[in-house]
Formats: sequence, structure tokens, C-alpha cells
Amino acid sequence: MQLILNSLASAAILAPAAIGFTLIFMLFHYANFAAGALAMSGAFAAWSANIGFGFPIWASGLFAMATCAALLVLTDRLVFGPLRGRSGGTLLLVAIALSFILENIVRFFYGSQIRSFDLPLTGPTVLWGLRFTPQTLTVIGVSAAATLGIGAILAFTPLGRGLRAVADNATLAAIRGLPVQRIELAAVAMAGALFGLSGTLVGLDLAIEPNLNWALAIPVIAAAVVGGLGSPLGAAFGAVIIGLAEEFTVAFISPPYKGAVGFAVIALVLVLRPQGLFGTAVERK
Amino acid sequence: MESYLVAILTTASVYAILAMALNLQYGLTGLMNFGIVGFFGIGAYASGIVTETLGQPMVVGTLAAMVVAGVAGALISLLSLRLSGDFLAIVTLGFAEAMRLAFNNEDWLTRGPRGFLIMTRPVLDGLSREATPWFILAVFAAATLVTYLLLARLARGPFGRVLRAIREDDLVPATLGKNVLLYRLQVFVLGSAVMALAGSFYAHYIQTITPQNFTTPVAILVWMSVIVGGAGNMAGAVVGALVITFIYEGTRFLAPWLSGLDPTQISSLRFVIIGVLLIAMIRFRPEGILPERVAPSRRDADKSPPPQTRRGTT
Amino acid sequence: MTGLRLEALCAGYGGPDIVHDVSLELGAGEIVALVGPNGAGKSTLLKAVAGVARITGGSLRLGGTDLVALGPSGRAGAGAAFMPQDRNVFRTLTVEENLAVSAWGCPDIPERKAEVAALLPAITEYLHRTAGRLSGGQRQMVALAMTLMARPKVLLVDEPTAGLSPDLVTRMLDVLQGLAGDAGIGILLVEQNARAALQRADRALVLVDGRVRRSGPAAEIAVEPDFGAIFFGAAA
Repeated sequence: MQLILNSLASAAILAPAAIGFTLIFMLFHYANFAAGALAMSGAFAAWSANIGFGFPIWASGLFAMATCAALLVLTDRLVFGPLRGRSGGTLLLVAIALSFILENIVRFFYGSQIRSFDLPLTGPTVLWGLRFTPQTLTVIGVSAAATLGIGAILAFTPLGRGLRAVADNATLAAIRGLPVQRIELAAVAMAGALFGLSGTLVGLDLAIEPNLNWALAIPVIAAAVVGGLGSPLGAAFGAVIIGLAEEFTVAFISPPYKGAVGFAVIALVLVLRPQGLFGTAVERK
Repeated sequence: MESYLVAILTTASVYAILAMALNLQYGLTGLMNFGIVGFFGIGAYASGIVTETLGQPMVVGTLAAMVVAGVAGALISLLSLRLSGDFLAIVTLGFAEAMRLAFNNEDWLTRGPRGFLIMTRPVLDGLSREATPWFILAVFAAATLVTYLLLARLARGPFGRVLRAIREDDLVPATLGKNVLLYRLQVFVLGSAVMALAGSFYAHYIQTITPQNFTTPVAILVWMSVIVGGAGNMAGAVVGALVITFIYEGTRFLAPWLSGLDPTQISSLRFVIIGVLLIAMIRFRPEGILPERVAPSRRDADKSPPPQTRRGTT
Repeated sequence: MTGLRLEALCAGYGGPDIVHDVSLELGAGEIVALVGPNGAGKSTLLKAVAGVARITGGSLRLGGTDLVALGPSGRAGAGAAFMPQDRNVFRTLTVEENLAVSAWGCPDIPERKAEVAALLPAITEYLHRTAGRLSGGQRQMVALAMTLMARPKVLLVDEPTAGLSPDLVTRMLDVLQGLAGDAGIGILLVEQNARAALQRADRALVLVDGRVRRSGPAAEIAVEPDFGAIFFGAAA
């Protein structure tokens, strides 16, 4: 049981970013490796708001989401926009370079030491034999709410419908009179906000440091790949699977190899089921 | 200053060999291998273990390194048989990360983060202290030259033509009766072995290897060398590696003007510059300094529609 | 003049022009058939009007609006609805969602849906199906219904009967004729089946090598002695 709770906490951190990554992939068909770097930047934005400006933690989280949304929109305009139509591999290379740039900008201003939010110190509660902190519950609750919220937006609102239409066939969307660029902008901002949310959650549950970039990018992409890269809800399920795989590795194999779990799962999924475990398939040449 | 130049050139030749190997895989064949540091690291550790733990001469170490990395390359290639583009990139990236974790955690074999000490060096007995770095540079330059001659010959010949055809379109060589997967396997094995050669030389040059020597920044520098030099052009890969090493090492000299910054900040700044250069290069001059001289490549500028998502059943 | 008006229009895809100096007018409720051999530039002409191919010369107006400066989305908003030959529905959306997104930003989507359902009753049978799972004939009907959601003044229809069985071809052409007659929509029709298209059209343009070879009342073009030669001669 403890294992499952820990897995859910890991999954809760990954899920928003995995959904954001999936949104970007649905629209533009490239793997934005900078997802981890953006979440890490979000964690630092939240930390600055919390410690620097003395915001309460929920407001710091909103600040991080706004910062990441702006950051992703900016990088999309500056970097990815002019490269639309280039091969997925080229864009992945660019995304890796971008994550590298973001990580080092953060390192430049904040240094490499580990930081954490200003939170009241609370010991873990033990209930029915489970050890958890209030933060763990908050992280899981907020993440679940965000996942359901995004799912509802995509399924039921005109914007969500339009976004799915653009992801399906952008040329036809323009022909049918949809404001494709505005919808893409909204989706990019949404994805950015989700990266910021993951960053804040990781700061609540673990520590804040520039190395989070790498530590987050891999499992986030793994969760999205497991989820099939075409369905945001699939990405959330993917996050749960990655969370379980990570905790099982820590418990039964060897804690240091937790970092390799994401990759092992990606390799396994891509080799066995290139279409991912859930829903839509991704056609590759 | 002179010794510094020798050191930069020695490092540059390691990068040149790595860049040529990547150029074989990506530049010619279009395979996105982001696992460079994995093969590079395998080469370094395998060579170190063979020479130090098993007490063999460096030649044996280097050959063993190339064999081990070649086998690893074959395994990765078989594992990712049907993958291409960014998915292959992610899987190979995963391989590199797994290798780094292994170097870090398998203390009994690699001595982990404390570093693996290597006494064997590519020098002759009786060389003076001054002559040693020059001798090592000469050995490295010779290795670079031999690698260049072999790979450039390969790229110009019929083998290279098939690889380019694979890069442009998987289907064409298949219809010509060429087994694409077999060619991919060969390219992976050969490229991995060459990366291990670089790793072996590097290990015997710096003499203490830690897992930190085999992390993403190295891969980024190698990728940058290929992109800057001109993907598909072997001479371009060498030129690219020289340019990148000089830019990267050269930015060290900025330090006196940045006295207000601590070392972490300066190192971050260098990486930011490298990253920005890479993106700018891809954006404004994707063909590199020395463009490939065969028929214009449509690899990057291709107008083919992006891969489509669709429902599981059509 | 409330209809679509092309004057000396030239267009292509960024390379050499594919369509040269085409002029035509299309009034309300009129059907103009674009016929010609394969590769004559019929589809390119439609795409140029829709904003998908690039206009390199001439003018294009709909009513009082200059369309040249608008993108595909703007032209749809101005009342020129393009129905592409293939990939013309959002395959992952349901039919109902396909209709709803096609009236982007309109506050009266339910009314429009009812309107379109009245014009094309067949689609009400599969409103909740995913568009990617429809048959060819159903898909073409949905694609047409999507264009109608925008209440267009003119329809640009590219080979709506490609791949359909003979009775579905007839039904599709009947529907188009009905839209022109009852709803007063001007239709510019590219159709592989030239004879069937000429039977339904008011006027026709024969396009060969991107230029207008003949134009006039459809009935006259249909009995033209070198009609067959234009197709089979130029196509060979």
C-alpha cells in the first residue's frame, strides 16, 4: 500500500507535464525535450515567488504556471515556430539544446544548491499503517484535479474541440475557418502552465535544483509515450505506470537505477507497441 | 600557452573521431543516435579495465573497447530495429543514461564517482617531459587521420551511396534488394566501435575517468560538431569538431573579463552560448560550414507532411 | 455583383505557375463546372480561391471583399467554403463535433446544425459516430455538411464523387444541385466525371494546361465536337 501511495505521488508530479508534452506532440509532432527544463524553471519561479516575494504557496504555484506559459510561448515563437516542418529529429535536437540553455540560465542565477519552499514543518501522519505528509495529499489532489480539468476542457469546450481539430488536420482546420494560430497559442500556453504546475508539485514533494531538468524530462516523456502521445488522459495513466515502475525499482531492484526506469519503459513500449498503450497510434515512417 | 594549444588539439581530435562516427550514423544514414556518450563511456571504461585490472597493453584495451561497444551497438540497433527519427533518439539517449548510472553505481568494476585511475599511456619509454604531450598529440592526430581516410572512403563508395539512399527514403534501397536493417546494423556497429576508439584514447589521455566525463554536454558538443561542420561531409565533421572545441575551450579565456562571476556561473554561461549557437546554426545554416557535395539533401528541408496521428483501427 | 469574381488569376505552389490568366464569374445559385484533363490545374484553381495554393497575379473578389489578402481561414469567414477532395473531415472527432468546429465562434451552432440537417438529412443517422469510421459516401456528406455550417455564399467543391459508387455519385450531384437551387449557393465544381458535371452545371470552363480553353453554357460545351479530343488528346 505504501508503495502504491508513493507511486501515486510520483505520478502526480509527472502527470501535468506529461499532458503538456502530449499536447505539444499532438499539435506539432515533435518531442519537446525541454519539458523537464521548463518544469524545473517553474519550480524555481515558484521558489522565487514563495521565498523572494513571500507569496503563499498556492499563489507561487500560479506564478510558476504563468511564468512557464510565457516561457513556452516565447520559445515556441523564437525557436520552434521558425523551424516548423523540419524533421522530428532536428526539433528534438533543438529541444535538447534548449533544455540545456534553460538549465544553465537557472544555474547561472541560482547556483547549484538545493532549495525548498517555505512550508510549515509537519511530521508524517500515520493512518492505517500508511505514512504520508499533508504535502503528498495536496500534490496528488491538485494533480488529479488538473488532469480532470484538462480532460474536461478538451472533451467538452469549443476550445478543446478546436484544439483536437487542429491536432487532427491543421490545414483542414484553417480551411474550415478555425483561427489555427490562436488555438495553437492557447494550447502552447496551456502546456506551459502544466509544466509550471509539475514544477511546483515537484518542489512541494522533493527538492528544487537545476538537475531536476534531466530527472524530470525522462520520466515525463516516458509517461507520454506510454500514454500513446495522442491522448492527454493516456498521458496521465502513463504517469501512474511510470510512478509504479519507479517505486518498484527503488523497492526491489536498486534505488540508483530509478533514473533508468523511464528509458527502460520507453524502449519497451516503443519496441513492443509503437502505438503506445492507450488510444491513438502514432505513425512513423 | 603552447602546452595549452597542444591540449586543445588533443581534445579536438577525440571530438573529431566522435563527430566522424556520428556523421556516419546521422550525417550519412540519418540515424539519430543520442547515445554517443554511452558508447564513448563504454570504450573508456572497457579500455581502462582491460589495461589496468587485467594488465594488458593499450592496443589490446582499445581493441577490446571497440569490440564491446560494437556488440552494444548491435544490441541497441536490434532493439530499435523499427524505430527512426526522434524515437530512436530517445531510446539511445536512454541507453546513454543507463550506462552513466551503471558507471556510477557498479563500484566493483568502475570505482564509481571516485574515478577510475589509468596508468597506461600511449607513449614510448624514454620520452622527455616536454616531448610527451606532443607525442600523444601525434598519436591522436594519426588516429584521427586513419579514421578519416577509412570513413571518407566508405562514404564515397557504394556503401555510402546505399546509406544516403536509406537516409532519404527507407523504401528505395529496399526495392533495390538492399537489406536496410542489415545496413543499419552495420552502421550502428561500426559507429559505436569508432566512438569506443575515441573513448579508449580519451581515457588513456586524461588518466582518471569518472561518470561525469560521459554526460549530455559531451553529446551536445559532438552533435554540434556534426551540424556546424556539415552533416554528411566527413571533412566537415573534423572541421566542426575543431571549431567547436576552440569555441568551447576558447570561452575559458573570457574568464578574466568576467571576474564578478563564480566558476559555476562562467561554466553555465559557456553552455548557454554553445546551446544558442547550436540552435542558431540549425535555424540559419542547416547545411553547415562544409555542405555535403552530393545531390541536395531533402532530409531537413523536406516538404513531406509531418507524421499523422490516427486511430488504432482505420 | 454579389458573387465570386476571378480576373486573370495566376496561381501555383511557390514554383512555376500552374494556373494562368483564369477569369470567371459565379453568381448566387449558379453551378459552374471546371472540366479538363488530369493535371490541367482544376484543383489548383480551387485551392487558389480557397487560399491553400498561392495566388501570383490577378484579382479575386467575393461580393465587395478582396480575398487575395486573406488566409484560408479569412476566406472561409468571407463566405467561400472549400471542400477538399480528401482528408476533408477531422477523423478523430465525431460527426457532431466536426459540424460544431466548422462554425467556429458562431453563437448559434444548434440552429446551424438543424439547418444543415434539413438540407442533408442523411447525416443525422451517424451524428455520434467518429468521422474516421464512416464509409466513403458518408464521409463526403459530412464534409459537405461541414462547409454548410459556415452558411457560405459560394462552395468550392473538389471532386466530391471520387471513389463513390455510381448511385452515390448521382445522389451527391443531386444534393449539390439542390443546394444551388434551394439555398441559392454558388457552386464551383471540379468533377472527374465531366459529362455528369456538365448535365448539372449552368456554365462550364474547360481548363487545359492551366489555361481556359473554352468557356460557355454547359450544354454547348457538352456537345462540342472536340470535347473528347480535349480530354483524351491532352491527357495522353
